[in-house]
Amino acid sequence: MAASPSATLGETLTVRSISKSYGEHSILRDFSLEIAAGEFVTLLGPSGSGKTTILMAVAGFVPIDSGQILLGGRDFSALPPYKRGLGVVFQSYLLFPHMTVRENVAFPLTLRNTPKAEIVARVAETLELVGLKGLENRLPRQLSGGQQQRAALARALVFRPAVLLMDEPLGALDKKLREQMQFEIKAIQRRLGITVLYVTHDQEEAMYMSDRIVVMHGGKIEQTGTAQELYGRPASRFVAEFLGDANVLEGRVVAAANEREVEIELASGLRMWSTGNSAAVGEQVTMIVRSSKVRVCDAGFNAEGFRLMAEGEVEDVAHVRNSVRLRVNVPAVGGTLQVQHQEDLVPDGPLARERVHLAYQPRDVWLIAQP
Amino acid sequence: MLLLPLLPALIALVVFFVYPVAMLLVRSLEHGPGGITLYWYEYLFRQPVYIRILINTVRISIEATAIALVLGYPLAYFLTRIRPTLAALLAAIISVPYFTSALVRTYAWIVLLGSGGVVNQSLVALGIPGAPFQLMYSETGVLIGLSYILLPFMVLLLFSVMNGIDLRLMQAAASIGASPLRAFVRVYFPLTLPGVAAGCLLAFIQALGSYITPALMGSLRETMLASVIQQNIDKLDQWSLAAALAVMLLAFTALAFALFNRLIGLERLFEAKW
Repeated sequence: MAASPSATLGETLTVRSISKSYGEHSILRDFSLEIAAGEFVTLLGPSGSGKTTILMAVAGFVPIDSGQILLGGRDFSALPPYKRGLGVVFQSYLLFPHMTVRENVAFPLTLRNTPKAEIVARVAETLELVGLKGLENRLPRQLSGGQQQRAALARALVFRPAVLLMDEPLGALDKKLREQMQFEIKAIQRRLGITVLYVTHDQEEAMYMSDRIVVMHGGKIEQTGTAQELYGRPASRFVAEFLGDANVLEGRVVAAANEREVEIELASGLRMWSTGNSAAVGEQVTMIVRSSKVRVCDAGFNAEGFRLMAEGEVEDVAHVRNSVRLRVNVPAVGGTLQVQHQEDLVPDGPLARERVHLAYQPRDVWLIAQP
Repeated sequence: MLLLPLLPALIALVVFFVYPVAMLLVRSLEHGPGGITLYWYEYLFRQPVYIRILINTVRISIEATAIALVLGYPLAYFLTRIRPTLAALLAAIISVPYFTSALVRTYAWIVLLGSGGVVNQSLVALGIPGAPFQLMYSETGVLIGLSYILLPFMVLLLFSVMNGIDLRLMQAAASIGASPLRAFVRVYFPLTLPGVAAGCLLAFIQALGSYITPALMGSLRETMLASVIQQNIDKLDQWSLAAALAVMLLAFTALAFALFNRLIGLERLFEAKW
């Protein structure tokens, strides 16, 4: 692989309206997804959202009640797992404890009756690819968590599958190692041109690695899109909240006049404005304002594009890396708002218990119509 | 200071084990007046009957161990796949023969397996050709009786090892292209090997020294070492020859342990995890 030109191993993976239930309990309902050759798609959702079930159904370990799963246009949903030829990386790695790293990685090839010389070469280049060179003779229990993860990845890649399935592969690693592995997995995926279906509950990991993210909730797709799309234009309150740092407010549209500026009245009587969304007068809407888009200021604040929102009391201040995170209790919105600033925007920062004003830009208020 | 609590056990071990075994060894080296001699060992190896009994004892022990393994392996696997409470209940039932008196157990076999016993009557009634079979007072009888008593050992040792195997490894094997059979041969079975070896070792040792079962369920041709030792002491008053035979038995046991240690490692008897 290191020697060969960046091959395009990947093939299209199509999941066509699959359903799965255990007795009365429905896990998946009519789920469909198409992943292009070489695309990195992540199923993102809380536990119990059905994301792992989809992965295991594609791998063949969970029999589906109905639907089809196709690889490059061929339906393989009737094949047993060992005939599907997909690479799988499990959350707990599942390396064979009685085999060395070399034996673990060579095993898929010996099962395919690959000639010995080729096995030796392929194992060596795959171990080099994942950065395990020199550890060939170790047993899995003699490896660190990160090394076990690499060995599991090598074992899943060595037979050059068209599709790689990964089930929370980094869940057991610490944050720093996780970030490094995210980078490396992404680099390997690009280099091999392999199609990846990835499962995680970590929204940052999903946003960092994926070409496309499928947000799952209760066995159904909540929204599909790029990280930017999901973050900037969430289709539901669930998506907005799951991707993190969203302030969620509710109100009723009282005016939708010039330049598509929508005026919304909250239950307290507070009025807010939103641009870039269209809404009809009288409609109940959910407003999403990212914490990084809310600013702390004083009553006289008057900057281009900004509007004052309300007054509140700082409950809590935290300095994280180069940003300041505040929780501000705002009676006018009936709750606490999250605010995140660049450190240098507020040099001395407000202190806890201090009274502050909050400002926002109407273009940062995203509206979701309430059903 | 650490050794002080061990003192009672140590004294008991010396008085009831080390001393008798040492005396046995000394006895086996005595013949007539004068110093030590290998007379009885030479005598033993010059008599074809003793050679045959030695070989028979080892062969029957190996066969009974093999039967217990073949029966016990699937049984132990089954126990790992059912609810733990049910598994515990079944394990207790499997262990019953081990806790019943050898005499009661053996007489029960006689009732079941005799030429007019339940098994043969059923076979005759079913019109099985060749029935009734000589199930008692034959090597078949000895093997049935021995493997039955070895089974609980085998099952419990295999169970403890199998229980520690992550069955998702079979999924991992399937994901890289291993059929269920190849996954068993290359992954599951190798992982159970320490249990297989430990079960076989303990079953084999137990079979080597068995006395009542071969004596009551076999014929003269199935005479095993323990019976000969008993005869030499009780009937022939040949203490030194009996001691030499007992030392042989001890030697085979030690040999089995040495082999196990070489292939698997003795620590695996106590630590079954990978």
